[in-house]
Amino acid sequence: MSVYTVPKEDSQATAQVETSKPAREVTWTAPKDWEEQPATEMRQGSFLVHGGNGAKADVSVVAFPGDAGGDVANVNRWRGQINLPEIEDSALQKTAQKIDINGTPALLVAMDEKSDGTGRKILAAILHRDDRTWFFKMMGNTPLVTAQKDEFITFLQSVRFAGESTTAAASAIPLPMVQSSSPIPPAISAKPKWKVPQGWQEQTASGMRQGSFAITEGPSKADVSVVALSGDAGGVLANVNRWRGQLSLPDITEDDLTKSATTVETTGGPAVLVDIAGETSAAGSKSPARILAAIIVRKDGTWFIKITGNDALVAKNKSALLDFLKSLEFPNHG
Amino acid sequence: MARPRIIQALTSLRLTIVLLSLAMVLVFIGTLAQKNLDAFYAQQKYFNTWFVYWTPQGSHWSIPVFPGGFLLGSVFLLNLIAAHAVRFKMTWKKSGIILAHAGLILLLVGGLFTALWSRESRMTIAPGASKSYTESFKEFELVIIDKSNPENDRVVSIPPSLLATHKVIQLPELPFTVKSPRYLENARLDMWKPGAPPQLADKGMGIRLDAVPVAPTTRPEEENYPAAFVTLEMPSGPLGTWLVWSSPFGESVPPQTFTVDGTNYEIQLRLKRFYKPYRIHLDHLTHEEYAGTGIPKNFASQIQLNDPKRHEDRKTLIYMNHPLRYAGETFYQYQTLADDKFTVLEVVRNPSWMLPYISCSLVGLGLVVQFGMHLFGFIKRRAA
Repeated sequence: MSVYTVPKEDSQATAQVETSKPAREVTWTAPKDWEEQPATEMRQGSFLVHGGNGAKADVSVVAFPGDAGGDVANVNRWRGQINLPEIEDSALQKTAQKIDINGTPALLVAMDEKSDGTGRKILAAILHRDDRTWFFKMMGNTPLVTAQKDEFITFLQSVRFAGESTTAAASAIPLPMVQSSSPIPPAISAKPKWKVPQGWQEQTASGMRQGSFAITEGPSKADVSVVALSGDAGGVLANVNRWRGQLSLPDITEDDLTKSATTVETTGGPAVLVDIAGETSAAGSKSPARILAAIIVRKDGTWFIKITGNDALVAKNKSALLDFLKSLEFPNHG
Repeated sequence: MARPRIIQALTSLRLTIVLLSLAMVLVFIGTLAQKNLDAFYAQQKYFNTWFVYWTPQGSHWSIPVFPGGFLLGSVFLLNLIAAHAVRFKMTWKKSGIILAHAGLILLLVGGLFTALWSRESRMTIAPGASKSYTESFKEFELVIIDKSNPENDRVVSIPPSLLATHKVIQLPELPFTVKSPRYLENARLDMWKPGAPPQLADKGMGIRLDAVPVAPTTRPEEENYPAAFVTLEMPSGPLGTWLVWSSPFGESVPPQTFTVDGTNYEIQLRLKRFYKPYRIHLDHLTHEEYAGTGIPKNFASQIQLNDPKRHEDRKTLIYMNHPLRYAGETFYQYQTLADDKFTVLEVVRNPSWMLPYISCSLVGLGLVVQFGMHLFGFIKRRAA
């Protein structure tokens, strides 16, 4: 073991080795003075911004499956990078700005290492889409990042997603280039059996999804996802508020959740059922939308069965969702 | 008076022949082994060891089956020194042989010093960026970094071998203990799936990930990607368990942060770093190939070396067969990466690098002297 002291590392001084080019499922138009860096397995995009007197800022685009630990956990991780103390979720909701990135709601946060304008600044946007969380982050010299804010926002507005995430691109975690022989196969998933309600068209489940269905009625569409995550996946309330944010609704408290949610018994345990009606923005216009979701917290993980889509269509499928929940057969009850 | 048997054995020419024969066999086996064994592991298994061990399949025994490089070299050294001390007479007539043997002794000693003290590492830099450390090719370290000082980071480095013992590690520099309930020499990261063994990590990125064990490899074209679940615990209770993972290509699970009593820390498993008191900035990278071929014609890195303590701030060019020698290390142009977006310098520290040159010179001189004496003696006798 050894203990030593080193000068603080500038993020630009650390070279990142490109091991493979990830599939570009997102495109953007970056400002001309942003110097593109090689993408890595962790970063979908990487830029270096130069300012006067050697000032620099680093821009990264990273995606993680699910909610990546939650917004406040990631914000606190960034705060730790510039020696700021952690904050609670309530403080984050007060200070963060809710923005819209090409029709998808996102959270914009800004944090300064020092109040006198020296040190480093982080400007970042967090966006949840298709069971993935995207992080767009600029970090560097405070005056430079402050001056680049408009460019950063313009960059965010230029982001376009390529479509539904495929199995190949679903994971942004670093996977080894070369595998050794005879890898030990992963454990068999404890996926439950279910009965697909009429009108639900089964889709290819990919990425985090254990099951995926589409509901279509004329021009109205809804998406059904069955997702399983480890542990408590951040907690029921955090996930409910994340969905509320997607429908441009404010957060609620634990008490509010207790009053508004109902419980449905399933073979896998009690399911907390939430019904969230709000609106989504697309191409500058808003339309009513609804999320109807059941959360089952089990010993081996947390299951989310969620219908998202047109307000009326989702509401119409509530009984179908209840039938689906009752048809679930988990391999080990409880 | 007859010498003790041990002295007779040590000074015996027969012993020298046996040692040379065994060395030839060892070099032959060690070379052939590199068809399927990475050179690094072949070095450890055959040459930088007292014995070559064999492990019967299905067992954990390590049975010594052949003398290793250290044993052969040490006995050879004793044989040479003993022969000189006991049998050889220090006369002008024998001066050539004495010089040649002194060169051989120096060669063996140099080999031992190299095995003990030399180090190879690499420095990967993008044009316009700079680095003040090199990284090991194969060795990793778990680092817990105190980020509280605005000027410096205090790094606690723990070798993976200690994590693999699963023992509680306590350091005065840390207010918490460190323990790894699970260490994997080679692992693949995957999303955690329901039904998999209970997730050990309850903090950081590991909440969503799982480390799937993969059989450790020593093949030359493969690498190991170590992973560890690391539990940190205060006297008041556990802080949590993090999953860390790294690769020899420089990628790893990024530093994960946590706070203890107002102090911000980072935890990461990464390639072992060797920090320098100087910094190297890559101004420009050149990579030329012979037209129409993939054969490299010219790899060159134009760098700026900045060492405030030695008042060095100069530009220099590192290219094929023209390394930079600085502060006891030699920087070779090793390769470029990712379509020339990075240069990779191989950095060699070998304090005993001069010894082979000196020893070869001594051996050569000794042979010339001995042969010269015989030649002139023969000519003199013929003239007489």
